[in-house]
Amino acid sequence: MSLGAYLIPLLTLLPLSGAVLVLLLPAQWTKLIRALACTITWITLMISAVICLHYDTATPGFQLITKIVWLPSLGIAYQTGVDGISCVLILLHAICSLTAVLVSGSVENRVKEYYVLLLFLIASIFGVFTALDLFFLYVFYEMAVVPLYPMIIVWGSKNKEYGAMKLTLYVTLGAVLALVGLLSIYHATGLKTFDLIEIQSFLAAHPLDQTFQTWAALLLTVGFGVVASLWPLHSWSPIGYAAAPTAVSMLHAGVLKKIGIYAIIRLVLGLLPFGASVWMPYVAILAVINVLYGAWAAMAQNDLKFVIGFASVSHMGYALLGISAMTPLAVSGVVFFMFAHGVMAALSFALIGFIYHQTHTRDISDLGGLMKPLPFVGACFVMAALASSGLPGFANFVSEIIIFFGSWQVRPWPTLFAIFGIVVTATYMLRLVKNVFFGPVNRKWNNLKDAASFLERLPYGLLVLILLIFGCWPAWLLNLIRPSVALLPLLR
Amino acid sequence: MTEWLILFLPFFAAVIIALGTQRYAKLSAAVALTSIIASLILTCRLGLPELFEGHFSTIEKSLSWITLPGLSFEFGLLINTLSFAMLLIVLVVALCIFYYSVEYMEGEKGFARYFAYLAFFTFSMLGIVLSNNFLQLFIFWELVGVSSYLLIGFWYEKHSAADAGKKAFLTNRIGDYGFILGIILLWTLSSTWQVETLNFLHLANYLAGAHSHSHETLLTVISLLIFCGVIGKSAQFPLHVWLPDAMEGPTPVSALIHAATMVAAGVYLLARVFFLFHQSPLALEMIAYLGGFTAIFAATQALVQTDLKRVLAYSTLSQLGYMVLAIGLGSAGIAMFHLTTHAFFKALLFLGAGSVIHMTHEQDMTRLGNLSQRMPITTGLFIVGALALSGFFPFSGFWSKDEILVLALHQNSWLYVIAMLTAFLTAVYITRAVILTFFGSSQAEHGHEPKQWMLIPMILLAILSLVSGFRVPEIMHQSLDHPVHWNWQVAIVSTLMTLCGIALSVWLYQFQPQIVVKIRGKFSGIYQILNRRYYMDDFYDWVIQKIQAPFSRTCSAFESHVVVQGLVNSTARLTGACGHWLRKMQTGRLQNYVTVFFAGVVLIIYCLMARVIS
Repeated sequence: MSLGAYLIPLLTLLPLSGAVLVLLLPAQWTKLIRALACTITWITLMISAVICLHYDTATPGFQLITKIVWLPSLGIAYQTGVDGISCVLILLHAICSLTAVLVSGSVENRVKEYYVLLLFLIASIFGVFTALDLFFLYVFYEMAVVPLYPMIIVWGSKNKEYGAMKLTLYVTLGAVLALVGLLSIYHATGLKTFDLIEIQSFLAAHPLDQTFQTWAALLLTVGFGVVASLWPLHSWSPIGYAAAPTAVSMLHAGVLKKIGIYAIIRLVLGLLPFGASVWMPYVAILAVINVLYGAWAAMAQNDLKFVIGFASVSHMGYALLGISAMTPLAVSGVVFFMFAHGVMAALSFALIGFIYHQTHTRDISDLGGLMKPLPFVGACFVMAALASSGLPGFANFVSEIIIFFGSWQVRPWPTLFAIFGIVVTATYMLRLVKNVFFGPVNRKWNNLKDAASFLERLPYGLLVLILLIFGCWPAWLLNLIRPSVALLPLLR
Repeated sequence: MTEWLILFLPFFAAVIIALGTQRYAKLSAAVALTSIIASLILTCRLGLPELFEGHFSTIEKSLSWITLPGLSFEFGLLINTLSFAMLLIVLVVALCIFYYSVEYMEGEKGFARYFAYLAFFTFSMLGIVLSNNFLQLFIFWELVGVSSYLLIGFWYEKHSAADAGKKAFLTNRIGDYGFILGIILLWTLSSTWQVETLNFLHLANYLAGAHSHSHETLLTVISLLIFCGVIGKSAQFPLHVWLPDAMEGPTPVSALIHAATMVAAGVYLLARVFFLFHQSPLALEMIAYLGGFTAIFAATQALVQTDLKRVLAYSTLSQLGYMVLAIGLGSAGIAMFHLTTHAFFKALLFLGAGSVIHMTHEQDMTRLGNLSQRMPITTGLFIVGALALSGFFPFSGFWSKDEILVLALHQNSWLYVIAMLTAFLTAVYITRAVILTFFGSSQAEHGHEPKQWMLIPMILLAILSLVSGFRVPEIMHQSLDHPVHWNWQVAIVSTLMTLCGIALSVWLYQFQPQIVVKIRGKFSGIYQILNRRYYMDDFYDWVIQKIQAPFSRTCSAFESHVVVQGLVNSTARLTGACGHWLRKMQTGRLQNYVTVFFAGVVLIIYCLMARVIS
């Protein structure tokens, strides 16, 4: 085992131990706590970058594997490793974590508890993406849900009790369905192990019974579809995001939602190809509803966060559409899309958090003309809106276009309708930009303070820059994604 | 390397201004101007003599951009005679407008931002010109869309400007929906041919070599879908509505958008991929009719506009109709010829209008008049542009329009009549604009000649408007197709039409203004229709207000009432009710437990007894 392999559990352990450390510090040492959280997330970003660079695309399977046997009688081991798909998601999560911590500077009450929970959340999500054991994958996923509830309740806003409860219950519901699916796979293989690599190679040689696959795929698709906000199980998402504090919205919309897509690719497409092929035509139809319904619903909202919340429901439709095509091309597009959308969603929520912190309102009709007092934030928001509308130059365009090309070959009609989403998205996004940032400035907003210092601008600038860089040079990520997606049992 | 630099220099300028020199207005303008001049010099060095001697050799550079299973996109440049000529036109007009803007935008708060946008816009347009494949062209196509969004909405604190920018972008997006579908379909088709490419040269070679008649229907569909993009960008009916509103932007921007860039991009695209449209006579026929319709449709509206810039805007629509008509009739060379002459004289007209607006702060023609005394040079230059636009011999517009008319005469007499009528209307409305602005009774109080920054570009454009009727057609035709033969009959008829139009307009607006009022009173119905732009904007507003908005509210209401209230909250209520009911099992009151316990005991005893008895 190479030294590099230890880097991967470190991604989980570092924020986790950070959480414990913060727990032990006195609550009034807020500066140290903030600095610690920044440092830890910065290190995880560096580690993630090293992993991505280190990953050898010539042998595209799982790499940097470590295994610690935990319960041998049940075949449970803490096994970690990455392939090209999880590399991309780790990088995404590291970026979102760092920026989420950076924008958390405006949190002022119960700072210590806030950072404990935030670091715990960050650690759990890293755990999900690095786990190569179905048991631990599930455990980390549930662990990620735990801090959400208190974070929304304590630091959230606007109808937060309802939002927190709804989000948590929904995600848990999905997790339970998925758990049943996971356990049934565990039993069906008869291997007595949760080891994903072993199960994968076994199933490649001995596919499971078709009826079984059908039902297991349904459980897993619906279970993880909830997190991916598959229509009509999406309604937790706008309400939950509206209630959540900025960092949670960023991580949730940016990364946690992607766990659903990730798990469907990994477990449904990867382990149950026949079952997937039964359900994917329906998923394609639901995906179109996601795209168009979400977009039109977003158009009618008056709360900034609700608009972006519905936008994220709408955008996840593209990912689901790409999955439903089950071709290497479309799935590569989906993986890239997760990255692009994650960064863009984090950026949008970060900016809305900034505006809310300054104005204490998110009502679009209250705002207006903010470009004048907030030129930097306004410019970033315009870019986020354009990225969201799939403008070339941003990574979102590349990923969407790959998905469209890929899904067209298999599901032309759903794709035809889904592409219309780019028109509707542009409509509500530009309307939002116009109503919030353009037009004459409302006098009460004349004295808002723009992000001025380097540190204040860093999170927004970083996210915009990443969208632009990977929008212009998508090959850097696609080279990572392509070989690993090619290993999945997809249509040719 | 040179080729890449030509494309990217304006981009670098935009980045430098945005990140570095934004605080220094003059420096920013200098950076932008330098980049355009450098691009132009590099372009000239690339093969200007060869272009005029007629043996320009094609250059293609290409990098692989995205490689995935079953999909590969490249990023490349293709410079042939067509794109080289277009490159020159774009850069020359852009240079004039950049130079002009230095004075026009002086003292403006967003001066540096303006030049950054302008440079970015030019970069995007150069990208369209140089792209060697469909997807890359689409990318720059969208970038032109977004930079026009920024430029039109430059004065974003004005509601009307912000709305106009948004309208331009969204209208273009609707067309682009068709465009991208067309590209995807074309890719699928090329996969079935085993070519798997979106590269222009490869596709052209394949289509030239293969007998692809089995795919004619599909090719027609693809052509029409790609043409949807052109309808948006080149503002053809019914997606033309954004263009008159785009007048909200600064006037040099209107000049840039309307003359050599953006709206010309659609026509250029048609010429660039004419090999594709050539495969489908049906698509070409539809394109021709749409172009002819747009030409006359817009010209009639130009007759009644009172805003100087809007007259020019409708005239742009109408002239674009001519170009699209020429493409539809099967001659990309003629369309490109008209594009060239139009680029120069329309830029000149807009810049002329700009100096009127800059000096008088007024663009309503009913409040202008008799400026010829205060601004003689501008007046003269504007008249040159007006004569070129109306196709007066020997100005450039005469030659290019004549070719279109001859082409129409040979192919479709209906379209010939329409084109001829449009020529007449063109002369009428532009003469009207000249008279109302520069002659007649004076109403504007101030106004004098602008300084050299604004005058020099106008003079240069005026010279080009005079001479571009010569030599240009040979260049365009050598790369695309053969020129039409000179036809005396058409030339005489069109000159008569133009003269009649000018004479009528002079008579009406200069000498008998009261007749205009009478006519307007008598035909108030028609006047109203024209003035309301055939109710097209009202129709779209109606669609947005009465269809889209209720529909989105329905989605939202469905969300809150059916999904949330119906599905989620009733699940929650059901769960709650179950809990409420089950809670009675565990009340904590001893009496209840004892009662149940006792009942149980009774039941058990009863069962036992029953068994014993039986």
